[in-house]
Amino acid sequence: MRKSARIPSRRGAGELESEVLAALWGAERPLTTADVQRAVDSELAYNTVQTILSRLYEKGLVSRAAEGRRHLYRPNKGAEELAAEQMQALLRRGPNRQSVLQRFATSLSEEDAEALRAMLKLRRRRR
Amino acid sequence: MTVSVYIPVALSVLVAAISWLMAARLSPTRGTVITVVGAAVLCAAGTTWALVLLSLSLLGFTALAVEEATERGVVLVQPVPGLIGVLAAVALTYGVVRVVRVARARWATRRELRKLCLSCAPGELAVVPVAEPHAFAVPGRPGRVLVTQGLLALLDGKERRVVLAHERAHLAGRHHGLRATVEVCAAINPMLVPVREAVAFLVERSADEHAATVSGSREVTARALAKAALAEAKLPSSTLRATRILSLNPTRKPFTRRLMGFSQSRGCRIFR
Repeated sequence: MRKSARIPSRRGAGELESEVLAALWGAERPLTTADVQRAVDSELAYNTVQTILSRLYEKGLVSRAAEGRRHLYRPNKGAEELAAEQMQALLRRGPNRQSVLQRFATSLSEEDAEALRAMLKLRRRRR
Repeated sequence: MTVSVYIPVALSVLVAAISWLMAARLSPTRGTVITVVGAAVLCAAGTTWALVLLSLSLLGFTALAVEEATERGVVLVQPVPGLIGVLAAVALTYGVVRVVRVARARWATRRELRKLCLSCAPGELAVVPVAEPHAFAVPGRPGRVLVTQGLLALLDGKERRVVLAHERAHLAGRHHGLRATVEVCAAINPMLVPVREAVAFLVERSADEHAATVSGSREVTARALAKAALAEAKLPSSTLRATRILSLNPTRKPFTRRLMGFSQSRGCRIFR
């Protein structure tokens, strides 16, 4: 635990910005600073999250709306819809073209998938 | 021409066999990957040179080989049979065509990915509102991490960090260059296809290990990989992913043992 607690301080500002942005994109609704803090990593200080959010806002990557005394943040979708279409076209290509892409998620056989599902289920129960 | 002209071919078979052993037995360090890539390059260069010599013999241009042989005092007992010369010429031509095809495909896909990233907001991370879970490392200056919204929605904070760390490791380690190199080698010499696959596996494992170090937990890394893999389970089968996950997973429950046995039978069990 000590080891993982040390790691956040080593992360650079750019990496933290990416993590916060990823959390906002991954959420279904706009998030407050506290929500973002929970979604990214509970070990991150509230003020740090606040600073990163302001920086993302200044860069125009997120938009914010006031709700009472808090701000609600959500990612800015600009030309991303266009990018989505380009991506779909790329993914529709045959496996030869796709092999060029370095994929995070490759596919599984049904047997492997079953075993993994069991593994994830067990983890959930243990927690 | 002496028999030595055929040595690169035999060597390629050997390297192909050894590369899988290396991928299975050694930890995926940079040294391991570079060694495998280097061996592939030497083999590809050797076979190409051999094919060039054999093809030239067809046209009667044996001066080069004859000169070298007389220099070393080797007596050329056996002229190259015409059939082998023809086969070599065909293989060489086909190899060149394949290399051009591979290079073009890589180039086009890379250009498309860069264009895609340009459509997104600036910064290291580019998110595309697509439901399917995907993440790519897009090389360039600077390199970018391209992730779909579907993948981000699937994972929690720690798991998202795993994905980012994994893709960053690809960019920092210049894995695209290494993979492109062995892909060209395998295009020239199809006997090196197993080496290409071994390198693809090794760079993924190396990125996984990096992600595990950054996240501080092999379990979280394995979970992130498992979730992403399950979301894509509908696609054609591959045990590669399961092996990677098991390599990270320290627990040995009955079902994982079954899975372990399954990947072991393919000769790709990797446990550290």
